[in-house]
Amino acid sequence: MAMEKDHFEQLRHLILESDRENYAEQNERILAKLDELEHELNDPEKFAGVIQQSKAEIIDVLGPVLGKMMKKFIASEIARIKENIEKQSKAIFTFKFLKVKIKHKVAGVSMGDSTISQAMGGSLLQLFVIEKNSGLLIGEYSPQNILEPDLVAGMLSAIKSFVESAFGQENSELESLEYSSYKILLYNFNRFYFACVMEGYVDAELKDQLQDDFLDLTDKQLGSISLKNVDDKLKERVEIELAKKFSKKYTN
Amino acid sequence: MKSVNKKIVLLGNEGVGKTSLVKRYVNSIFSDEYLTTIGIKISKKTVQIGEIEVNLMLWDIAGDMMNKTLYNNYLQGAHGIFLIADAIRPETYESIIIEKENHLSIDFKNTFTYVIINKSDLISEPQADYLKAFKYDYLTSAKSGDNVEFAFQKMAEEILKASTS
Repeated sequence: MAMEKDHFEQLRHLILESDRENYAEQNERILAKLDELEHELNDPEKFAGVIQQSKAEIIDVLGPVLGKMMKKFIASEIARIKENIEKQSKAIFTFKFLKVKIKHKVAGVSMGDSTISQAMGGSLLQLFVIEKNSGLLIGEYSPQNILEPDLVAGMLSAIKSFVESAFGQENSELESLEYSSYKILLYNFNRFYFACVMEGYVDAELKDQLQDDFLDLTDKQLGSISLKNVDDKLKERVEIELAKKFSKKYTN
Repeated sequence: MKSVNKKIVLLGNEGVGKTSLVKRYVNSIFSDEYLTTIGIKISKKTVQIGEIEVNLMLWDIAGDMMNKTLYNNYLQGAHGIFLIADAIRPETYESIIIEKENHLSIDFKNTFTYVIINKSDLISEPQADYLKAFKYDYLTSAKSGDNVEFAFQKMAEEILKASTS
């Protein structure tokens, strides 16, 4: 019995020693690999190389995550557009709808365009009223505040002057500027002009509506204002009128 | 507090220090890129005159624009014009005086127009003599800041006085 125990002890010693050696060897290999990996990740060029080599694997890993996010975003946008279209289709048998349809027929705007426009519609981010000659800001309306409207008004006037002088023909005026999904629509009057910063889909009908609003505003409120002194009193007066006219309009 | 907005245009040949004067003076400024793209840079400075806050919109026009038709558009509606020359380049003085006599005193005769000789810090004794021949309103240095604030303040006061009288 004692002899058996001795043999067993010897065997256990041999086996464990070999295990220990194996583990130590493996550990060293893993540590060396980790060092190598750390070195590669800290070196931008090597890291870029690793990414380049593993492009397919990265796409496999990230693709489904990004895909799900995009799918979710598109689904929510479609739901929003659908909801807006449904709202409009409910109004299809109303007198208001018939009136709009007749108006579109006269204006030559398709109902399809109009429906898309109302569903995805452009929203008003900022509105400036700017004196034509000096480029001074007379008033502004902004659902979302932006910095330094005075400077923006000046730069818009300078760009307008630049474009009109460089490319314009006699009596032609700049009517819009586009940047990414933003559109700046300019409505020119004799002594001042309106600059509307819009985001989203802006079609002929929306432009037409804005023009009607500016014509109305100029005719009834702003046409007679004195621009001799562009001061806070004038600004306040103009801004009250702008807020009255636009506070619940062109928001999407 | 009451506030008014006024437009001031800065004119002068390239390198006379218009942009440095503005940089020395203003609160907020657009990037220099605009100056090279459309020949203009607009900045804003608010000054206090008595009970009134005056917002000065400064239109800094690139030196090489003076020969182009577009530059006339930038002058429209200005309440004040600063003509700027370099103290050690007499030809820049001659150039602004020609501009003043042939153009501004005719088309913009109701706009306050003042001549600034800039870079006063570079004037040495012999140069001080030739300055005697120049007719100017302010001698400034954008580098040291001498008279810069004063020139703009005076311009704002003149404009305000005229608009309230």
